[in-house]
Amino acid sequence: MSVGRIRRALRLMGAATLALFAAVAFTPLANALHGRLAAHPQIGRADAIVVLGAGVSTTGTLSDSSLRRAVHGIELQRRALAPVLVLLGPSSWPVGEAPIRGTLARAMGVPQERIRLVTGGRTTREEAERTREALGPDVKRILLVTGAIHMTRARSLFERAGFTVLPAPVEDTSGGGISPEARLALALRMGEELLAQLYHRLAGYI
Amino acid sequence: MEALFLLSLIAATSAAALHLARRRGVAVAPDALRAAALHMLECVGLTMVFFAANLVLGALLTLAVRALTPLFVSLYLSGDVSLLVLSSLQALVCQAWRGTRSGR
Repeated sequence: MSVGRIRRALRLMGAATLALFAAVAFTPLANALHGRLAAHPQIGRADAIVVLGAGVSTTGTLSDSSLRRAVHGIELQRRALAPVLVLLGPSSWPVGEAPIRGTLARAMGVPQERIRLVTGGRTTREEAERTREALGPDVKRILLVTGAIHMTRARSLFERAGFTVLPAPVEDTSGGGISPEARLALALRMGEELLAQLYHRLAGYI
Repeated sequence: MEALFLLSLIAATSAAALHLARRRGVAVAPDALRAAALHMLECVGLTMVFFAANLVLGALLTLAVRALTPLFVSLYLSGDVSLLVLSSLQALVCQAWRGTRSGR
């Protein structure tokens, strides 16, 4: 390939990138795509409410996403939709995400005997496997709480682990932001999730 | 409204830069502006090439570490936004170096 052709290709790529940037940052394109990708809730009675992890800081503060998911799970539990609330989170130092969420659940009135902590899952696939191990074969139907964009992949993985999944998505990436920054962040999150879905399909996990 | 505000800022500082350049006697011919815009597009395109290469390499390294060692590295690490900034620096250095070489 000649230098001239390479330069032309780079210019085309540059123009396409700027056009995409403008479309994402300055139009409702990202919001519209989010509307199509985000899962819709199917709330109903289940054997367990399962809340996926989303990160905790080294000072023991739940991330924004983790907190929203935990609160949504607790809210569903308080509506008596399932006998047990399963809170997930990877083990981390000094305190893991799941124990912090457990403390929050108790503070919000969920009885200790209805809380189950599942730790150690570092990816969504590991969370599905560990949840199946922890709950045993008798638990079949779960209300799954995770981000609305993440739900499609999470649901497939939990169904592969043998669960019947009722999606209970949380809006942890705001689809309603209208500032260029919010739309760019939304597009970035959707791009990450689409790449993750591609990887999982290529690896045969879903 | 936000978009209009931000784009107005860009237009204002660009116009101010052009005015300052002319006042200092720096020749700013329309042809040169077109060449500069094309050069900018090349830079952006090269940024995307470096970004894609960094992303792919990051993902492959992550999977290799997971497969070959007991360590766990998150795939999300490869998607950190700082990678985009660093990729743009790579592109700028590459373009500047090319410009220096062709100027010999």
